[in-house]
Amino acid sequence: MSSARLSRVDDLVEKIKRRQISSSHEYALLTSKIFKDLIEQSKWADARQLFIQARKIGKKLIVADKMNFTIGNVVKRVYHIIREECKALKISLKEQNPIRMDSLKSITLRGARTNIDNMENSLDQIVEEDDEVEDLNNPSPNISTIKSNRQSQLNLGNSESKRGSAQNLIQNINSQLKNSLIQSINLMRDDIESVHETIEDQAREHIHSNDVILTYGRSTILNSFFKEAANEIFFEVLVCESAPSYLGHQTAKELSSYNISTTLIPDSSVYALMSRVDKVIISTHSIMANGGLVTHSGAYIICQAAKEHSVPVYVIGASYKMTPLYPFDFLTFNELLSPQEIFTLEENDVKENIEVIVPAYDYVPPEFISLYITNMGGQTPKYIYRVFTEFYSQDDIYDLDDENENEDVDQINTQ
Amino acid sequence: MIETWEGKTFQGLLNDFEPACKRLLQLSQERGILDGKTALTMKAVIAIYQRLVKNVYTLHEDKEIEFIKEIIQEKSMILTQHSITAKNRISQNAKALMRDGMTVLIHGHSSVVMHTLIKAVQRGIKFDVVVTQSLNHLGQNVKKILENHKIPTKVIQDSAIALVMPKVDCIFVGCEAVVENGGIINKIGTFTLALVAQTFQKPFYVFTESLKFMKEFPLKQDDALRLASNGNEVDIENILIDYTPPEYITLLFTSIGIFTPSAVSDELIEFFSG
Repeated sequence: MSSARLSRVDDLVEKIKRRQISSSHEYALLTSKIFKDLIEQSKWADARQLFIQARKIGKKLIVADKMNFTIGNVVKRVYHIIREECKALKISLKEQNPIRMDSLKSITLRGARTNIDNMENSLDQIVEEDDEVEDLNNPSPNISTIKSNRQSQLNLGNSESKRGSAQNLIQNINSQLKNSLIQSINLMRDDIESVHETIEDQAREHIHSNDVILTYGRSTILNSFFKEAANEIFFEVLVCESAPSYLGHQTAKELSSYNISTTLIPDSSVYALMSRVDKVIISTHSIMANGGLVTHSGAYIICQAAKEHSVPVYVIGASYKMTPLYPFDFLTFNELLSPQEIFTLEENDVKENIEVIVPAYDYVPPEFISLYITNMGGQTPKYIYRVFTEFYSQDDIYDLDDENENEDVDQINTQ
Repeated sequence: MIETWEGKTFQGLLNDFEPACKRLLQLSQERGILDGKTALTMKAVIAIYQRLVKNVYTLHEDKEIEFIKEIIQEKSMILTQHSITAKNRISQNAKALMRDGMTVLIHGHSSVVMHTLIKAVQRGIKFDVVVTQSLNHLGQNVKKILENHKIPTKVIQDSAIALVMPKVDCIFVGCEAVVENGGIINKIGTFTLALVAQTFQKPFYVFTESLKFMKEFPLKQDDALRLASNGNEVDIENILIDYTPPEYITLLFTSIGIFTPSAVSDELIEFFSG
C-alpha cells in the first residue's frame, strides 16, 4: 500500500473521529474516492490481494465511528462490487475456455491447484467464500465454473511451453478486472453525486398545493427538496425546533429564505398540531435493513403522533443511507450525548440526585413509515430489502461489525 | 441424516432419479412419524434437493453422466455442509439480539432456538427463559436442557402466555416450514403466541434453517393442515401444527441471513426459477 494513500486514509479516519464533516453526502464521496484510488493506482497482483487491501482500509474507516453508517455502507458496496465483478469475470472466462470433456474424467474432484494461475485461484477463493452461503439460493454453475477454471489451469500448467501464455492470460485478466471494477465504482460515485438532483426531482410528486407539512431536524437534502417544490406551488411547513440540538431553528431560517411559509414549533406541541398536518416529511440518519429507521432522537415520537392521526410519514434518504444492519430495539445502535446539552453545571450546584440521559438516536420500526423517497424512486418499507440485496453481499453484512470475528470463524470451522 | 438419503439419490440418478425422490419422500414420512413431528420439513428439503439436481441436469444435459454425478456430489456436499453449519450461522446472525437481563419466551423444542440461547449464555450474556409447557411435558425437557447450561428457566402453562407476556422482552420460536409469503408452520400454539405478542407489541422472532423454506402458499389454517397431512382431512381433535401469517412475524433468522417475512418470497422465487 503506498504511503500517500495510507496517509489519506488516516486523514479521513481522523476527520471521522473528530466529526469534522457534517454531511453524510460528503462522507460517502470521500469514502468512495479512497476505494477508487485504491483500484486505479495500487499495484495489486490479483483479486484476492485487492480484496484484502480493500478490507483493511474498510475496517479502519468503519471502526473510526461505528454510528456513522454512511461510511460502512459505501465500504460494503465496494466489497459487493468487487465480488460481483469477480463472479462476472469468471463466468465470461468460462465461456471463453470451453471445457475439454475428454480430459475431465481423469481429474479428481478437488483437483490439484497449480501455481501458474494465481489470478484465477484468487478469483475462486473470493467466490468460494460465497459458495457455502449462497448455494441454496443460487444454484448457478459455481462449482462447474470453478472446476472448469481448474481444468484450464491444469491444461495450462501441465506443459512448460504454455507457461508464457499463462502469464499473458493473467495480465489480460487483471486488466479486464481493473477496467470493469473502475467502471462500476464510477457508476456508484455518479449515483452518490447525483442523489440531490434525483431526489429533488421527485418533490412535486409528493408535495401538493396548500399542504401543511411537518418536519424535524435539519438536512441539506430536505431543504432543497422543499425549495424545489416551492418554486411552483404554495405550501406551509411546520418546523420542530428539535431539542436539544435546536437544528430546527436553522431549518426554519433557511426555509423562510426560500419564501416558504414557515412556522417554528416546540417539539412538545407536535401531538396537538398533528391533526392539522397533511404529511410528515423527515430526513434520516440511516435506513435499516428491516425497513425501519435509526435516526436523530425525537423522530419516533413524531412518527407515533402521525400514526395516531393517520398522517403519512415520508422519509427522505439517499442510497448511501441504506444500512444493511438490523436494529432490534433502540439500544442496538445508539450512543449517549453529553448531559451538558440539556442540564448545565450552573443549575447543578444544588447537589441533587439527578440522572441525565441524552440518547443521540431513535429507532423507528418500519410500520410507522409510509414511504421512503430515495434516489431510486419511492420505496415502501416492506420492499426496501430489494434495494439491499442489490447493493450488498450477505457475507459482508455480518462479519465486519464483529469485534471477535476470527473467534467466530474458528468456532464454525471446528464444529 | 440427509447424507444417507443423498447417497441413495446418486444411484437413482444413474437410472432415473424420479423414483428415488419418491422413495425419499416415503422414507421421510416414516421418519416423520418416528419423530412425532410432521413430514413438512423433509418435504421442503427434498423439494430443494430435487430442484438442485434438476438444475445441474439441465445445465449439463449434453455432458457425460459421470461428470454430472460429480457435480451433484459436490453440490450435495455443500448442501450437507450448509445444514451442519446452519445452527452456528443462525446463532451468529442473532448475536446482537441477546442482551443482559432480558427475558425470552420460547415455545416448543426447537434445536436452533436452543442452540442460539446456549451460544448466548456461553458468550456470558445473562438472561431468563420462560418456556411453555406444551404437549407431553415438552417444556420440562426444555427446562432440563437449559438449566444444564445454567440458564434460569421457568415453565408456564400454555394458557398463561397472555399473563406473562408483559414481563417478556421477546419471543423465539423455531418452525417446521417457512412458506412462500413469509408465514411459518410450527407446533400448535405458535399462532396463539404470535397473536398475543402482537397485542402486547412484543417482537416475535423465528429461527430456522433456510432448508425449511417451502414453495407453498397456505391461505388459511386448513391449507396448512392439509399440507402437513398430505391432503387428508385432519380431525380437529388431533392437530399438531398451526400456521402463523407473516404479519405477526418481526424477523426470520435463517442460515442465509436475517429476513423480513416479505423477503422470503423473493428468495424462494430466485431459487426455484433459477
